[in-house]
Amino acid sequence: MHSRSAGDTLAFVETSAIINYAKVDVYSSLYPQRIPNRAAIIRNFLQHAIRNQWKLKTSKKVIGQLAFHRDMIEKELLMKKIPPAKVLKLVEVATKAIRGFLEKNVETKDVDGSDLFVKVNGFFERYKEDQRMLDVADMKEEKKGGITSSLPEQSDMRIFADALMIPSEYFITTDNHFCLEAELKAEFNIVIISHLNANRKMEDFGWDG
Amino acid sequence: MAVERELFSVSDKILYMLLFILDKSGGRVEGKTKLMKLLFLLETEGKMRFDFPIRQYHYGPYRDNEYNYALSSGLLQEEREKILDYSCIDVMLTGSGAKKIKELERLFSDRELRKAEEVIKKYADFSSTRLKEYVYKKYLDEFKDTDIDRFQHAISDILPIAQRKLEYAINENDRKTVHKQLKLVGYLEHFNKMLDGMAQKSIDKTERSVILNATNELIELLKSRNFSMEDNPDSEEICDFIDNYADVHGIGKSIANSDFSGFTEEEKRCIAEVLETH
Repeated sequence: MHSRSAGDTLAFVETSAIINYAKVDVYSSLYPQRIPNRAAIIRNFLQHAIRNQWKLKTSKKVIGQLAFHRDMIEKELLMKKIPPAKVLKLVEVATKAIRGFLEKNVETKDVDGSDLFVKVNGFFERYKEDQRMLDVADMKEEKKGGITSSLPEQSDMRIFADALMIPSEYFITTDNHFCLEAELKAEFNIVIISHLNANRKMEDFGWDG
Repeated sequence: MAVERELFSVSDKILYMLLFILDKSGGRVEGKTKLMKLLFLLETEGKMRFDFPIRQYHYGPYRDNEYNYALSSGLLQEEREKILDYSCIDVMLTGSGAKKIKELERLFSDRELRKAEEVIKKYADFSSTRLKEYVYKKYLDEFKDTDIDRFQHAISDILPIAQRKLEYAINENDRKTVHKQLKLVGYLEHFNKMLDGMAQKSIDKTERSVILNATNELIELLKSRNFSMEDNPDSEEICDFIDNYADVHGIGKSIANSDFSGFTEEEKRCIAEVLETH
């Protein structure tokens, strides 16, 4: 069990983790029986992190990505003929949840990890044929259709490089591309926390539930 | 419980604006009434989004909590003056009040503060009496219940045009315009329902006037901008204002209120499917 004093743990919260945090708010009112498991797990973890006074950080690029996802969701729903007032309602509820989470708990930094991007990109290139990464690509392909890469999106790698600039001890994400937990720790000295290991980490930290 | 909260809470936002008014008026405002009217005008004309309503009482719009708090905490002070036989109280900003302004300034954006300053400057030369008359005339007499129907018709006329622009943006894959135009169409549909609700229940005259004044302003602004929300932050601000004002004053729920009861099962299923891919 790790012994930590309050406020000395620095963690970077990535786009997908923030979206999933807000998803619980939306699903709870909209469709409680379909709350995605990964959303529930990561939100629970983040709530414990806040309670344990972790210093949560994010970057301006993440904020940009959140706006991008919002715009895409709006467009997809409108194309499926959901009435505009209902689309706007959904987006505003989600935006309120995200804004509330960020304003109260997360500091947004304007960092530029460009120098580290080459190293991050090189790391993932080395593992692109790794079976775990190929499985992630297969899973994504099944979900979204089309041919998908075993590499994370360029923008996601840039965000990871930003997190290394801060520097962060933990990187909180629900992007399966960051499944190489041990390798990332060895290479960048950063611990990945995702829906895949969050419950285990909470046990390690001695956090209940 | 909500009423209790409203009655006993001190809103940082309203407290800040009280002190801001004093600061931008050279540190002194002639009378508490004028200060309260200016606060009301910041909400109505400056489109400040407060978290508690400035209520209409028999003597006009008023909210005491923050004023009393500021007075008892030494953030402002009153100075009684006797002019002829008429006693009046000037309200002044103290050194602690000026410090408090700095402490709370993050509550509003630069744009909101600029707008607030414009409103304060606009009415700086109004006497307390003139300001009171102005508020009463504008916000109590201008619009009647019968105007609600007129505004609903105006919104119904605008909606198809705004909707066409939205569809065009979707086809053009212009996601930024889709976002802006969706906000307009979504809000107009939402406001039309809210006006329906207003027509069916008895609403305080000032609150009705504030909503209808803002709706009128929105419609005129949209006409001048060819019913587009692009490069039209004022319209966006008015939409957010109406939504927040209606919610805080209990006229209608904010669009961001997570009540999805009007959604069909099919819509919910479809939304869940889209969300799961993000």
